Amino acid sequence: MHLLFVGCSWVAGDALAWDLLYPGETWRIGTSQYQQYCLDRRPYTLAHLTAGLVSATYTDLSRDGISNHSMALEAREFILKYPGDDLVVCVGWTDPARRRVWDHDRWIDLGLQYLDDPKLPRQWREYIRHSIVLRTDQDHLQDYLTACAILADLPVRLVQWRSVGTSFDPLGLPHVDAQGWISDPYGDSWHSRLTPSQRISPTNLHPNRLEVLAHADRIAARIPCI
Amino acid sequence: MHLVFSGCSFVEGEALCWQEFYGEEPPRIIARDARHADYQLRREPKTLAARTAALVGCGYTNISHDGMSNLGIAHRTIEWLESTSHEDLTVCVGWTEPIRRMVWDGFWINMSVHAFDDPKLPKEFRSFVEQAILTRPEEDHLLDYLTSVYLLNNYLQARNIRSVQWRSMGDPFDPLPGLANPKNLVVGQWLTDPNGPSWHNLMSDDQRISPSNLHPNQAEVARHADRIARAIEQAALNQIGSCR
Repeated sequence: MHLLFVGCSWVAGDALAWDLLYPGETWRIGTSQYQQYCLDRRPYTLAHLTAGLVSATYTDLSRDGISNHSMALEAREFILKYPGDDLVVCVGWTDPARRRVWDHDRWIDLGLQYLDDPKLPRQWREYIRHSIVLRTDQDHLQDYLTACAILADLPVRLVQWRSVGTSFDPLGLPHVDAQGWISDPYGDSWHSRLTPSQRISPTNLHPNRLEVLAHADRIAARIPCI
Repeated sequence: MHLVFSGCSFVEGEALCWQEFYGEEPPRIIARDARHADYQLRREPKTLAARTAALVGCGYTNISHDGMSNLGIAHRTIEWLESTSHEDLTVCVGWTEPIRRMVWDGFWINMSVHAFDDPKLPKEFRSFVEQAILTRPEEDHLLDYLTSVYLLNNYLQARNIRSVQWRSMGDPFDPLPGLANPKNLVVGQWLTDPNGPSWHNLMSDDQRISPSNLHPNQAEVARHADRIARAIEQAALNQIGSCR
């Protein structure tokens, strides 16, 4: 069996093992040290732990800040090229208020979190304002459910959950079949359900190592059922 | 067999036979008043959907609407398929120009550059069209189109529903970085390449309603109905072949 993991920082791991690997050092994202950290944290990630629990190999396409749209399209490309029939795709859907856009020569993902970055170019600040901040919840949820639907009908086994996002009324929105979901596709996310003791710290709300292990266990429990 | 037609004004018919019914009276496409409702009823037998269904000899449902975005077309088609009791379906889809977006305004509406011509367009939507459509590169629009095509094609393939599809509007484009060539990934019968020239591109001037209204005229709609009818026949034959 081969597992494909797609997701945002909640799947990638964020500062999951920073305190172990760089004790006493300040958490720094976007530096060369961070690049090395992303490699070094692999043994602690959700993908690695889940694969260990079900004795599978894995590919981890998750990355910080990714949008649901990018997750669906990148997973789709991987699925269509995958030569075997033993693939299980594990998807942690992210905050619906993110968008995949073209930036000169590459795809990037924009979200509200970038508004805190003083270096964000003015054009992107305007784009985020009009396409994200001023848009309705339904616009964002429709984007999220479209991403879900892109993967839903592919001939592949899926384990899915919402990593980030709050519950919502699906009225007027596309229907998503809840089969293979750890959580309700319209319900609370992993983020919504975590207690403070399950998070990295009071200022970093991502899941800590124990909680990631617990979630790997939930995913692994779903895999034999598929 | 039952046909469902989905698309934008190219499928719906727009001013297709306005002049025939109302002479030189200006078309009331946007007004949506009693005159427009009367036009829609009288126009129905001449639409692409009605003509195709007559050629195939079956019933049809027409869910096309002028101004639809591609995502709107995909979602509306899936929504209809989810709720129908019809069996033995063939879905006929005319994809529209990529530069349109589906947005929520208490219900789903479709925004495009054409909305700019409407003086009643609220300021917030004018800003949205400017920032989220007009200033965006072609890649963003093509991604929206391909997402819609993949969404509907996955749905149809998973349920073994026959389809005939074509690009009604939109210019040819190269495969997008990071995404496989759409030619290799779509299902059903395509009258045009999914990334090739559209019906709009392929028409000559005498196949349009007028120099200022570039939609297909009645003769061209009849020709396109014939193309679709032949593709429906082929799609049915393919399905029989794959079952054997």
